[in-house]
Amino acid sequence: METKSILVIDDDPSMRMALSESLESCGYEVVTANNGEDALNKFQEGLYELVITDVKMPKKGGMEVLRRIKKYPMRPPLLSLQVMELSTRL
Amino acid sequence: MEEMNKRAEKLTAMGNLAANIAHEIRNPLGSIELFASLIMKEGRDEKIRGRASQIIRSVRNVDSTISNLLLFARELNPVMKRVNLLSILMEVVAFTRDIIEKEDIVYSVSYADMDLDIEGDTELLKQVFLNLILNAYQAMPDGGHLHVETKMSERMDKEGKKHQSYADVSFVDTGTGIPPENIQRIFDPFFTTREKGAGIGLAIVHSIVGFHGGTIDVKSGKTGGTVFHVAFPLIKEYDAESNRNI
Repeated sequence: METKSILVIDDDPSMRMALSESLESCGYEVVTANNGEDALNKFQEGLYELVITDVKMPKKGGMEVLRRIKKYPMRPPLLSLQVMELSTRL
Repeated sequence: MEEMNKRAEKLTAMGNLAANIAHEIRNPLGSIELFASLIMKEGRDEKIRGRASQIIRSVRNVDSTISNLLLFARELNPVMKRVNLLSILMEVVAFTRDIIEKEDIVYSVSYADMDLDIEGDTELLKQVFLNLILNAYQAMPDGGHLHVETKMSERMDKEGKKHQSYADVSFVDTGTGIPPENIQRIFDPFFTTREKGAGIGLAIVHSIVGFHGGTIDVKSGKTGGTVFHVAFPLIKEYDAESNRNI
């Protein structure tokens, strides 16, 4: 059975590791990015079932990343780790 | 008025500080909970899994306190429209009646025989009434009497420039009361006398009432019992109609 990939974006190494290990323990393959630019590069290179991102990050923030990814016709579901901020800004 | 502005500035500064601290704390808390969940899931030792479960519980308690802080710190984005204050109050009273009456507390109401229309945000006003009712409830651990009363009054406005009609709502309880030395601080954020209180409920109430152009005051007897009184300015076209009935 094909393993599903998830892109995890967070500038906090501890959170990246915690999310990766949790998702991997559920059988997913996880690719991590530590900032918005890194995330957009990795998004273009791979095929993901889900993108999970932190909102507050230096350089390109999570909301900017989500806006850019939303322009892709075959985009996967997007999940923000700060739901309150997501709902007020989108 | 100057006092209120100073207080509003102080609250805004404290709110911003609380919001920044809360965001900084929440991220590491999230990873702590995830790691503890992994230990729960993969750990073979029952004792270690029990400790991980305790970590998760504690993290959730801290997270809940932070949620309350953020509620206080968030900028108010009210949806202001003409609302019937009495209907809002009656809804909150009905919602809380079961909880209050289960605890050997007599709940009585006395409503003005008229609609009390004000310019306000329904959800924020519900928060005001809910907080004041729960505050009274928590002040009566051994039971007592909570009386909620509404009426209309007319007096000079806050600037002392013109007559204004107000919707008055009073919450009278027979609880433990507030010591005189605490009365001045009762609306200050993070001030609490309760072991598990965050001290933000009444600060939120104060901010919301002030935002609506209203006033709030509190009186407490030496032998117990407290009255919280809030007043909101009635909207002008309603004034003229009400005055005919006085």
